[in-house]
Amino acid sequence: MVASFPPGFILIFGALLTALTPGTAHKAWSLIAPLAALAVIWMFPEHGRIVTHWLDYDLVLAQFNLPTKAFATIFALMAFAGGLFAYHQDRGKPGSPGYEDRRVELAGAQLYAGSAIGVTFAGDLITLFLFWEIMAVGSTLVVWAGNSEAARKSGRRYVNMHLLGGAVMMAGIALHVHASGSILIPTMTLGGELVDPVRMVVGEGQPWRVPSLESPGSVLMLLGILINAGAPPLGSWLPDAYPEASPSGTVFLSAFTTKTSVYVLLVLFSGCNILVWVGCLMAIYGIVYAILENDMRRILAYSIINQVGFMVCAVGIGTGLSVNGATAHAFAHIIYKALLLMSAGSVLFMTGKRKCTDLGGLYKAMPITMWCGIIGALAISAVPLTSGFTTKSMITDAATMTELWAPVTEQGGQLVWDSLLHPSVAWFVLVAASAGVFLHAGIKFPWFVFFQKPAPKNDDRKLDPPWTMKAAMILFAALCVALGVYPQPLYDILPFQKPDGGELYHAFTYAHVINQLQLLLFAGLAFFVLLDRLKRTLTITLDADWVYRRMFPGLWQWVFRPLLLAAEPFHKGLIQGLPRAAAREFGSGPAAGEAEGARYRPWGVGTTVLLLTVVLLVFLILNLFVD
Amino acid sequence: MELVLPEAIHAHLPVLVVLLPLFGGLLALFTGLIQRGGGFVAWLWSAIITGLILVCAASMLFEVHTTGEAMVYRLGSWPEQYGIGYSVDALNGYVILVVAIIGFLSTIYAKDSVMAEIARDRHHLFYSVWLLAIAGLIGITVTADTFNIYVLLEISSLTVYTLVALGGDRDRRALVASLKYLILGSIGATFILLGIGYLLMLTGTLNMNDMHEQLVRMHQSGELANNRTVFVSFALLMVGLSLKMALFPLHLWLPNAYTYAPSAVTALVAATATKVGVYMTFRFVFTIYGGVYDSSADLYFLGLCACAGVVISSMAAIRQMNVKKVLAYSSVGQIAYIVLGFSLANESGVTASVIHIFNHALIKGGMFMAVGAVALRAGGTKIEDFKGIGRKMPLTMAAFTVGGCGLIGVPLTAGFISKWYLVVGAMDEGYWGIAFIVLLGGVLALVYIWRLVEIIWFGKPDDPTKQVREAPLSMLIPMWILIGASVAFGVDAGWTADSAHAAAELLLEGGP
Repeated sequence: MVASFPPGFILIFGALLTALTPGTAHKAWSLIAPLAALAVIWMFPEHGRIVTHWLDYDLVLAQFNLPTKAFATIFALMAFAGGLFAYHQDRGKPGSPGYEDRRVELAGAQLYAGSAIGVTFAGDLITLFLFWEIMAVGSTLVVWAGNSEAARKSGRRYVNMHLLGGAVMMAGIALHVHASGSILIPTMTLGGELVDPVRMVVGEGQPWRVPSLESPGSVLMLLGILINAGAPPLGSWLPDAYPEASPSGTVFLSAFTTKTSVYVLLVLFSGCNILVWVGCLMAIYGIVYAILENDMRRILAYSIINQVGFMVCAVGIGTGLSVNGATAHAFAHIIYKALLLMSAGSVLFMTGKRKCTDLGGLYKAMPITMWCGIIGALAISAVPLTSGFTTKSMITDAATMTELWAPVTEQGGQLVWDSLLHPSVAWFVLVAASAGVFLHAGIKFPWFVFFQKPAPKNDDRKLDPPWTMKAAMILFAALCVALGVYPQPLYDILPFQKPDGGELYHAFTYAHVINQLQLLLFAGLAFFVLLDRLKRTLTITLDADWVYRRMFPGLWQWVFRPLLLAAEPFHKGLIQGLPRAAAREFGSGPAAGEAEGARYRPWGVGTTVLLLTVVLLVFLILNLFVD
Repeated sequence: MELVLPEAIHAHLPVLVVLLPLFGGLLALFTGLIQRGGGFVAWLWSAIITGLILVCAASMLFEVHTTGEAMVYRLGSWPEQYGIGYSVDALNGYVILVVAIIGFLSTIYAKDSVMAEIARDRHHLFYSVWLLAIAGLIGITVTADTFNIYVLLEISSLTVYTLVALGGDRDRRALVASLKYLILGSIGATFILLGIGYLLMLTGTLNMNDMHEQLVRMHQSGELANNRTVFVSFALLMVGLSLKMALFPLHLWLPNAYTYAPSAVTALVAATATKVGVYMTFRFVFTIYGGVYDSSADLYFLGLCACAGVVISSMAAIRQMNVKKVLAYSSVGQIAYIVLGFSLANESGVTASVIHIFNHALIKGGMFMAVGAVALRAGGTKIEDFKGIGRKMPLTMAAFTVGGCGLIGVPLTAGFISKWYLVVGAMDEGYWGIAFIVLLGGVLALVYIWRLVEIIWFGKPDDPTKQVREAPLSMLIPMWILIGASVAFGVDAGWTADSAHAAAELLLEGGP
């Protein structure tokens, strides 16, 4: 009966056990629970549904939606690798950022991973929302486990942002449910005349329809999801909070929130064209800020936004190929991004430094960390034979087939297309962004962290981290290469399969490989030509979070507060002066509160009686009009 | 439940729930004669009495739900038109149960709290008045006679004034708070009495059902068409009741009274007194005037007051420097939710109101208990006393935090269920603005709860050497029963939702 158990709950219960188990037993649990969850995910019957009754609704706690298997699998894998990476974190040097007891972080991470898996299995909007909120709680715990003042503060901004996003999402769901009368997540189907899923469009001529953005419910839901996806300007919580977590905390954080949003966008908003442009904006935004940034983990955080941009774009395109591409890319992205952050985390863990300007010359001292970092960097740059190449090319390919997602037609001598900008712009942006990725994550990260300056002479420091961290990195590095060489196992769990079971997608065409290599070579050339300009100085980049970190407090301090203070006499006159004047007028003594007014602020009996009279008056007048 | 109670007692349950605490309270005075340990005996006595009430209340609601009919009890066997009738149906059976649960748990809780906060020679007085207050609150709920409502309202009010004033042993400001509460409470009660008097003049009867029947008869014969007495009585009642249930802007008595009362009193009164006020409003608006008097405009005005109350009192809560006061202002906001629900006068809205009476009683009762535990161990309830106290009193503060989540309306807590029905009710009427205000209220609650949570768990105590222990079990157990129940009813809302649905249907039979 294990098979009919909602897979998300395993890790959520695991989190409870982790929090409550005494001693160091919880560490072993942090490795077993994800594997158990993985087993349950794969044993879950294909058409199984777990339904429970709540309020007036039948909630579908678990079912396979089309992209569920790929997302749930990678989430469980990630929880395992993250647990492995975090295993020995409390063995760091006293005083180093990784020294404290990490129990809270592990429990939080399991809660986080479990609820993310729960979201992917949810069969209705309410279940989805419940897990969505638990995810916010779990991830906040992970941020706070960074145990520094900065982590505490940015965790606070983080949780506020997510609760706000949750409220927006909930309002959207409520409106949607109210309008449509159904809480179920619709099943995605492909339409069109062709047999090849690669060239078919989601929902054409089928019961599934692209959600119309004319209904306020859909708009609010989309907004709520985009906040979690990190779309600018709502996504500045991401580079704000992620780098403040502990070295292993950031690894956990990088995987779940944004990719869960991609999943939810896939099941709810596939083919919603506006997302193409949102995705393009994210891709560009991530690159610009990543190039400007100095903190190594913040560079990688911005590049998450860039990569998620690709996926969001693919969701917007909404063809069979792009949906497969978004799913595959999310899968591959979680692996190489976690790998990069593990490598950055190892550097931080062993050296305690995080800024590019302070680092460099570590290639001799940390060879394994360096190689794993480079493999991750190659994968994120989509170098052929890495996982990035076999997945990202699906998205760029899908973007070229503009006739499917935004047909350009001729009407009265004018070219008209069904999207915001000319559809081919999307392809150009994605290609340019691919080059940019190589620039900031592919070369910049390893160059500034491991090379940049020569290693000290006779460098015999042994700085590679404890074996569990190395094991986690090697595991993911191996996966990056394996999926790049032989992507078939991943292709097999993608949402849309060919009906005849034929090969879904062939990445290694001459055109692809040559295209990609050209792009990378020139981008690499550009990096070293411009190296002097790209050298980071100690700077702070300004992002949209400035609005709520500086502008709102500033507005309060310099604008609203003075205004309120100026209005205070007026307010006092209304609340206190008027009743007193009335009392004097009608001949009674000073209000009862005034006698001991000096000791604490009085609230007058007189005020209440006055209000009471007013309320009575209102009732009487109302009734006069009614009759 | 029938297995517990013999048939002979069973028929008398509706009157027993009032007589038990009434005479129990009088007898509690005699514990003052015991030289040593009198306080303990008084507490034990109160615990037994309130425990018995709980059993009675539970079996009454059980019976009402199984038979589907109201239990009626005629005092002295007089017909209802002449004598006093008590009756228990799906609505007041539910409210009585709420009062009985809170009454019992807060009595258990009171033991250590009262020991610490009230002078030794006054314990017998305290428990005597305490039981009388419970008698009054349950009496208002159970009686079907409007004048009896007034009498019992006065009993409960006078005893609550006394209970608040007993906080004077700890903080002299309790005396002023109590005095002001007394003045305003009496004014409110006067309005209610006037309203009842007008109704008596009009219908010649005091029994609610009879009153309703007379009004229906007069309505059908056209006598009510231009009758000013009806609406003047309605207006007087609404104003008096609004004050009693602390509806914004007539809530000014509440924050100080709650803040300076002894901790156990706050837990009892905050969870029950205003709820009983809401119950009375239900009865007058729906049971008596339902179908004969078009109160939609008045309800609209109440709804407006409630909307303002949600926003303004939550903002006031954000600014407070005393945790009890934060919770007191939050109570004003939560009562506004309840009023908002029934002012919609549709099924979801009234259901939300009835559910929230129960859910808020659980949450706020539990939270005030947690604050009282801090008052006992750390010596105060100011914000400074809470700095970093989460590490010293983890269980108490965990309860406080979970309760806070309920106030915000986090999913899987009881607060979420109430808000869900409220939002559905507002949307059924097409009032998007109200749905928005409910959500805004949640955000504001997040702000004031978050501020406390941060201080509790992350703050650094001013005096790190100060020894603070975890609260005693006699406080932790009732606190966690309430908070645990609030989570349990958030996860599985079946029972509360069904009871509230039944009560809402009963109320809406006659229309607003």
